[in-house]
Amino acid sequence: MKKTTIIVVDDSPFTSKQLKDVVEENGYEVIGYAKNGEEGIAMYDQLHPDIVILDIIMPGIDGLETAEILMKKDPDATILMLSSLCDSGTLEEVRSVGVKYLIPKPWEDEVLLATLDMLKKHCEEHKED
Amino acid sequence: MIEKEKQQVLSIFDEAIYKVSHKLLRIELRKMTDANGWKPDETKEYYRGVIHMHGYLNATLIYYFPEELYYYIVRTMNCGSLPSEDERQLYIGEFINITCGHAISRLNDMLGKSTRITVPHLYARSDILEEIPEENRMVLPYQSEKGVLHVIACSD
Repeated sequence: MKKTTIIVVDDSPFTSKQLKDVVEENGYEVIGYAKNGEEGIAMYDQLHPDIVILDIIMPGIDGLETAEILMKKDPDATILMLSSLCDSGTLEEVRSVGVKYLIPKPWEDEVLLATLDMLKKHCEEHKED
Repeated sequence: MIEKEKQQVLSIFDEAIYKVSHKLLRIELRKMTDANGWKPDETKEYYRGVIHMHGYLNATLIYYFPEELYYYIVRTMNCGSLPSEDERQLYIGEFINITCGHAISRLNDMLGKSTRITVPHLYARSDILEEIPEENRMVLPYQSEKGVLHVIACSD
């Protein structure tokens, strides 16, 4: 069975490594890492991952702008945002660009995996349609 | 900012430093008595990380890491081995980003205001404090078994 594929867009090698360890132990495959929004957009076009895990605070274009560009290019893009900023105002901004989920850094693995499972189901249902 | 609000802000920041460092680094960074007037010991090596806050709160935070604590943080975040020099900046930046972001998120929700943070960076020059009048600085010291982290909050 094909694994659900993920790209991680985050300037922090710490977060990228931690994410890889957690998600790959739980049946996902990380197929690419991008260090900023520009790289992330190019990688999305090239690799067509099932899920994008996207940081907000990054050099260059930030995660919110990156998500907005990705959602305009592909309204079916499945994005999970991660950020040290996770107050209700930030969540509103995330939702305003069409992304439903925001997970705080540092995250709890159970929360991350439960959210990814929801997104995975969403991807599978979407593929069946 | 009124005194009560200032104390709440400081208490949230102290809690963020403690919780995040405990979770990420398995180390306890506990607040010591405020050390206004503290100056870096010129005989010691420090690593300085800077992050700016803008919006409701406008300030710059300068994290002064003593050498032992700095190396402990970057090694621990890199699963026990020393990362390359370029990567060390990213690891320490992420530590600053997460501690500060954690505190600002709680403050934003508590105050119903919006403050944002920038991407942290390391600051090579040791004279960074000379440009900031002493009356605009607040020094927050955190004790750990690997040395004392001083966070200097500078109002813009």
